Amino acid sequence: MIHRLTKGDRVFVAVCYTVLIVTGLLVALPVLNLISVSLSGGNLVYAGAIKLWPEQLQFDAYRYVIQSKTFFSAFRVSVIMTLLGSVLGLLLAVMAAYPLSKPGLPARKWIVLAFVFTMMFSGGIVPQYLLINKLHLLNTIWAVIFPSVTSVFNLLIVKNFFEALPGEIEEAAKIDGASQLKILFTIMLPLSKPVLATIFLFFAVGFWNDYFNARMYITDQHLMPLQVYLRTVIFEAQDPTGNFKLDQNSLRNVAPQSIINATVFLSMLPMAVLYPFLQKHFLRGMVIGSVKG
Amino acid sequence: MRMGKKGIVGSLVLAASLTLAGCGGQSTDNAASTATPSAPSTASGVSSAPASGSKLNTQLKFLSYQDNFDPETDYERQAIKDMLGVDIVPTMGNDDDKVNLILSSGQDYDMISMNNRNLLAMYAKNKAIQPLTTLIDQYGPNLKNAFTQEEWDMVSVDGEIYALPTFNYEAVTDGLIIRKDWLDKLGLPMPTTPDELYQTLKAFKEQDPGGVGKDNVIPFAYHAGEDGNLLEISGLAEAFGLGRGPTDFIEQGGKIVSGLDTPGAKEYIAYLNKLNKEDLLDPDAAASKHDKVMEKVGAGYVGAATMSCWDSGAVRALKESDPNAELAFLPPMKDPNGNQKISGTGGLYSFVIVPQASKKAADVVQYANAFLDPANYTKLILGDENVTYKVEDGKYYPIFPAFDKLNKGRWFYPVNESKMYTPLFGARARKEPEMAALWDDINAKADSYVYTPVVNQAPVVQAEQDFGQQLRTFSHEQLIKMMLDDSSLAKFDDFVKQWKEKGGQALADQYNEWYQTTK
Amino acid sequence: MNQATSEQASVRQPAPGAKGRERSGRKRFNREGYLELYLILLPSLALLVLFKYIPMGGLIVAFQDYNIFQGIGHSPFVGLKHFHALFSSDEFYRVLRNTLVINIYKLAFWVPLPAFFAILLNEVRKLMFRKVLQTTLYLPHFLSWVIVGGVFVNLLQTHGGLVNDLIASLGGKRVSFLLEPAYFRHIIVASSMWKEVGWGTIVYLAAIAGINPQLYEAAAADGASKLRQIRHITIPGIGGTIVLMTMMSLGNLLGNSFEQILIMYNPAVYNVGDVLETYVFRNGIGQMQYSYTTAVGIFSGVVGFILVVTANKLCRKFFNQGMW
Repeated sequence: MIHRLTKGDRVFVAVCYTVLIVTGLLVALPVLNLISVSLSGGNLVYAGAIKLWPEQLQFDAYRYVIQSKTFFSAFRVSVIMTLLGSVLGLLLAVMAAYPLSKPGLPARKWIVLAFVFTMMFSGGIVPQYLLINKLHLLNTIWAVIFPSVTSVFNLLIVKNFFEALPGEIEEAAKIDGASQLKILFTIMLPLSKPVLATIFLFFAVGFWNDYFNARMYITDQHLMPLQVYLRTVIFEAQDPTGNFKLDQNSLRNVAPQSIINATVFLSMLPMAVLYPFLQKHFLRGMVIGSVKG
Repeated sequence: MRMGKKGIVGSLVLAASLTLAGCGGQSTDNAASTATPSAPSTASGVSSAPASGSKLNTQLKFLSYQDNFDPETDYERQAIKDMLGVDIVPTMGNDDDKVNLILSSGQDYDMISMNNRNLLAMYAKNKAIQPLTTLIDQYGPNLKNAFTQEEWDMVSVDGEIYALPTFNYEAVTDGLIIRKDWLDKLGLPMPTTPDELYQTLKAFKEQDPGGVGKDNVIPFAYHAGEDGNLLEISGLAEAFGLGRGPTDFIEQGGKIVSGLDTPGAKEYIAYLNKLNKEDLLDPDAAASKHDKVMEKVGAGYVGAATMSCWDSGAVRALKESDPNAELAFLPPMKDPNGNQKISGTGGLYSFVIVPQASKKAADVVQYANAFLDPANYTKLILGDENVTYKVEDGKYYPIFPAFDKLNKGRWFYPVNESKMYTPLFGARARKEPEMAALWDDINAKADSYVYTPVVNQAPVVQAEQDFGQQLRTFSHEQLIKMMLDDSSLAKFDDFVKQWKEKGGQALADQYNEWYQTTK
Repeated sequence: MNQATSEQASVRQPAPGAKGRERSGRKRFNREGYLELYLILLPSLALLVLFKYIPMGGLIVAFQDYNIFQGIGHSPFVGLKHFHALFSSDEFYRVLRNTLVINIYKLAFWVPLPAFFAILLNEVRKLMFRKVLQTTLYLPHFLSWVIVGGVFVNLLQTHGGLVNDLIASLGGKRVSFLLEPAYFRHIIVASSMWKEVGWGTIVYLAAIAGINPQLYEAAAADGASKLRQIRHITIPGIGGTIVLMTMMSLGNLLGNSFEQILIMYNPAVYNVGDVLETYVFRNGIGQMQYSYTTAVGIFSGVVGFILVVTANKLCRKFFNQGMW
């Protein structure tokens, strides 16, 4: 299957690698700085002396975060919210994208327009809050999930993908008398793994990173997600009035910036790991298979 | 355009607006029906044990700022429950816009902590919160004793008290610091006037006593990058006859005027402009927030800066790289008549309101009253003597690790007053040796010069509600520009004229009206 | 586009006679299963109506002096007062200009760069290497602007910033990048690309994965070099995705940079950096100026909507692709 590469091709691939590695380094440097600061001694961090690797190595910052019960509670809330929201969101996106990807659907143009319209116009926080309140969803995870689960952006990406799939597959199934629902779930979806993985990831990241909705609709500490916890840590550490200084005595030698960075790092780790996990669905060639058959 | 879809969308919008109009109407109806002007709400059922002195037995839903503690195991929550019989249910996130929505949708929190007095007036006028005057008369002897009439006025609207105030401890925490070792090396005394400060900064730049390289010396670092910064440097601005900054209101000749109306304002800004022009001011000042400034101090580049006693981390960082380094607070600079002034921390810090929908207003007042009872107070604030804190030479010190439990305790306070609180606060200020040293240093040098900005005690006048935010935004932009740029500074008079037109004159007039009534 | 790639067009050309099919009405309707399709669409549409269209009724506050306690029903109607206030304010044109310049500048990079890097990444065959590279590239997406802003401030500060240290060591004079209007927009665009391009490659990689591998094999068998394959197979294959992403950016042309600019700007650069959202934020969001901010939102929405509809029309005309 693999053809021998020409010389020109080999040069090209080498250039690709080079560009990617250089860019990767440029992008990675500040992240390295972030991690280094989280692992370095307080005085050096305070003086802004830490650049790309840790000095005066300490793990107290991470120890502090991991021992915090609130961190784990927030982490758990975020995981639940993300999983529920992403599965629901993916389902809804697929169920809307499939019908809308068929050019023959009556009023298709207007329905798509109706979806797109909401991307540019929104009533604002007040009506949304009143609605959530009226539905008795305040202080539940649903208040965070529902407003974001109708993501038009994600829907359009799925629709785009469906439209690019060859039409023969469906034709074959229809002739066999399959219902639309069956076609969607047994034929279209297995062929759409790349886009499903992508959209699941997008929803997941969206929910994981959500700060605004949680801040607005939730006051119960048990339901506080990770991003709110994180902002509070940052605020605490940066507040000059000292009323908030984190457990002063046990952290004498750890700069607040280290705590912030440790929290940031631990918060982004799950998402950073999620994609490589899903990546096997992105390999070229998974789409083909059933077209021939 | 097809009629069909448009019609559907159109009628949906119409339906939606009607629904929401209904929603809005409903919440107003609720508010109106439970707004009994000053009738005591003791009869409304849930509270019990009204006699002050015996323990309450109630649960109060308290909404305050976002914080990270575990509600189930927090020490302070348990302490309040044990000592006062009040179970506080912590709920979090009291941003202004969120509270607006909570109140307007009639949710039944019992206490909400806030610090925006403009909103207090608006809530009172719209009957979103309950008046507390009668309840305080009935259940709050400790409360009445704790605050003066002027202090109650600050949380009153049209003569009715609408909130329980929390006044901050009274001390000085922010001031100018200087590298004493640099001064010693150059044989210079501590500067006492702006001119002397200028000469000292020049010497720092030219002679580089710290040996960091002439290119790297930052004689004066300032956090002009803080949001909405108004060039306030307390301890310096007063030496020009101003308040904490050029836009502060001051008293002059028995009247209240804006600092901008005095010659000192232009002189002060010109002074900062000169520092900037001659490379004596950090070139990144306008982009530096306070922690950035402290970073530069800790790295050893800075000769003088504004610092607070909480920045002990910078002191430690500095000492690590240079054990001979010494940071000392400067006493407030002298004005041409030799007077020194510096602003302190005192004043209204936050306040607690009771939403209209709560049925436990009486309990809230009783809780606050019991909180201030001297029998309970010290224990609630600091815990047990010789277990969590100790007293030496009349000063309070924390005992670690026991004191850590009380770290988040402040979240639960329903009310606070400064006479009792200030000495106790010392325990928090003395958490570390460096912090304790800074705290004692600055208070020793500045304590006798503390003044209260004259309009701190004023009610929220109409002009402040109408124009306050825009004025500050406008001033922030123009002041920073004038500090950085000569052509902007030349237009100073235009700036003042515009400031007055945008509501500054109205503000000054209304404050003055109030001021005359207090004399 | 030639026949071989037309399969990859993002919108299928309806087969001849499609128009005829549409007109056949009920019979065709059931045969194609349209009723069932509508039912499948229903849940998503219902939630859209509930959570997006019902709150839209709140747009009416832009035409009132909205008092949150009086509600929509009882707040006074003021017509176009807030729009007038917006358009006649001194800073409006400055702010509008900045918003457009910055966002169009960003768009110019945002269209090609993620696609470019996706194509490059696609050439990396060793899976482990690819995973590492890609993860590195998109990590910054997870950092909020509060953190990233701090990163760039550190990088660009006059004393102690890496860039200036480099300049100084080469004998040059230090530049206060953060305070110079000339640099501000470039900093905003560069930092935005740094943060988001890696993440943007994900959509394109998914699109590339959807391209029929047989096309590549056929081309390789014909002796086409990788560059030619990219030009004739990959790029047309992701054309629809590029169009989609561009249009969505257009829809948001007046908003979009709020948090970033709020963190990174200061009065010295307001004249080039102050955008619509930051201006509105400073001037009243805290003081319950719901009506004013809603009016601004309507303005941004109208502009964005016009742009998207126009872009869609143009795309249909010239590329035969579009969102609808």
